[in-house]
Amino acid sequence: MNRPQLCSRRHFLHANGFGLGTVALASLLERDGLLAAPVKPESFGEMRYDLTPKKPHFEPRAKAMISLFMMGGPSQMDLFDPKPMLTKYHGQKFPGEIKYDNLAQASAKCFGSPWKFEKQGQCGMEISELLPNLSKVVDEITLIRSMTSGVSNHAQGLYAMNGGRITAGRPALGSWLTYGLGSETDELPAYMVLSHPGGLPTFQGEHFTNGWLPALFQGTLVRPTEPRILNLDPPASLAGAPQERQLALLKAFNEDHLSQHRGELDLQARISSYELAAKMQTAAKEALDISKEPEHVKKLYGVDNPITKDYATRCIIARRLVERGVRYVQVLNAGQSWDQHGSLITALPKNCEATDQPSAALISDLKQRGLLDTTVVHWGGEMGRLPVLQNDAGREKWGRDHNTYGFSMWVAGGGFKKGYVHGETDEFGHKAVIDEVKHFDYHATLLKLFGLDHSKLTYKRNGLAASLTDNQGAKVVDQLIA
Amino acid sequence: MRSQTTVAPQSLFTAHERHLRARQLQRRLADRVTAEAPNDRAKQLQRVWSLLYSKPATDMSDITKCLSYLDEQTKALTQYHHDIQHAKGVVPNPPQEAMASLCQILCSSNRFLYVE
Repeated sequence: MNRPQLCSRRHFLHANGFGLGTVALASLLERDGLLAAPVKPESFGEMRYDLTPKKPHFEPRAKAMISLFMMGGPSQMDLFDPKPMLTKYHGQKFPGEIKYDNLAQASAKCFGSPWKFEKQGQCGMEISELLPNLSKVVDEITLIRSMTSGVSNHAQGLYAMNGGRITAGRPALGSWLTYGLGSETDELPAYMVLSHPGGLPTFQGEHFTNGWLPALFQGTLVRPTEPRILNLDPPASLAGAPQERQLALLKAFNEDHLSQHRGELDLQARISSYELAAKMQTAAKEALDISKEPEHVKKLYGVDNPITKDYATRCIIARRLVERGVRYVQVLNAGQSWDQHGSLITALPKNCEATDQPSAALISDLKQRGLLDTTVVHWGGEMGRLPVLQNDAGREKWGRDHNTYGFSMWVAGGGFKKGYVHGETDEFGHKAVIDEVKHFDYHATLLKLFGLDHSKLTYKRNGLAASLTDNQGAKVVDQLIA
Repeated sequence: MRSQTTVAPQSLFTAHERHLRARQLQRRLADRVTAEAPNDRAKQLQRVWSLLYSKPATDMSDITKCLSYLDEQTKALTQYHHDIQHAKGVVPNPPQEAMASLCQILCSSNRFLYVE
């Protein structure tokens, strides 16, 4: 089959609109001796991306990741970072400067945590009474108490933690991992996102966007309730061979079309998505169905309790996906449910009740299956909260404002240390003062566990070698690694 | 967000969703081209090409592929309808169903979905 290469309208206009100017510029530069050596033609036009497993830069510790993302900003001094000094100063003026985000409701009064902390596990990690289940597995986790990202609002916090920089439009962490490593399964999406029955978190699709990475690496959103993926069954008359015939013909046409539009990443992604869709018909149904999980496993996560049922189910699904070779799973909350500007004393325990048992069960279950060594579990949001009161209108209305200058999150498995606390905030919990971990340091460390050098995992874009850590001076935090 | 995504559930949607309005249109497209040129599959296919892609099918291998698809699919659908019990009054039409399933493919193809 011989067809002339088509020239698209866009190419024609580009060449004719800019072409003459370019020639003129080149001759001017040459005259002034400024013309660089000709760039080797980029192979972009022939680039074809796929999700087959890729060899990392060096031997990896981690193969998969489950991120339990807690949008809103979980309050570190009520959950992970005990501050006796804050309790001592409760109700008194904060002795220092505070970086507020919401000035309208700002107060300078210290807000000592209403909850008790106790030493837990062999390691003696201090954890709040709001997290009784996490308390039982602290010997498996690394708790980072000195996270920072620098801009105290949700969007920037999310972009930093999920995209590597505080600006919008960048690829999510899951996209980088699947871009760098491919997938261990060709029957399920490499990057899956489990959404909450209450809806998506704020900033919605930005949680799982591929940004400017090829469309193939975007997260696939799974519905929060059955059927979790729609349309898995073909019409009865076309099931089996007739459908295979349909897809084969479609692929033939699409490949032919792609050969005339080389390097068009959306067209490639669309072809791959049909191939995956065909395989998912049985694989996804099986993976997303937890009905055959043993009763003791369901009970461990809390499927039997209406309060924990949703999160427990999604954590079990996350584990099942990783077992079947999915590279990156993110379990999302709704809205920004951890954003307690007010009524913290009643709202925060509710969040914990719904998520503590399933999150802890995920660690125990992965460990018991021998998967924790190669699976990173991450629990955290886009920021933390301030040590002072917000909304000083009665105890039941008290809340805390945003804080990205020092907050906590935990990670487990995949080569992270066990029973280890990293970093410290000041005596009141406002700012990281010892062993600060910037969001990009965390990303560099995480990529190292996956066998990837953060400075080498790059994507060519507008002449730049773009990366997750993006030349911000990221350093691998070796103390976090076992 | 929807306009920017290319994930597998979208492909499942275009391939499997039964209540899609597009499905009706694909059937009507099949009916239309069949009525315009009864018993001439090649002519029907040329008409589909001009209606969907606004140009004739110049590559004859495309037409050959479609013709053999229609043959095989008609056989498979005839067998399917032979094997199942139909509700009273339902008269299956396998050649027409095959043509509709072909129209579905062409409507799901990148050539149709992406404007150059």
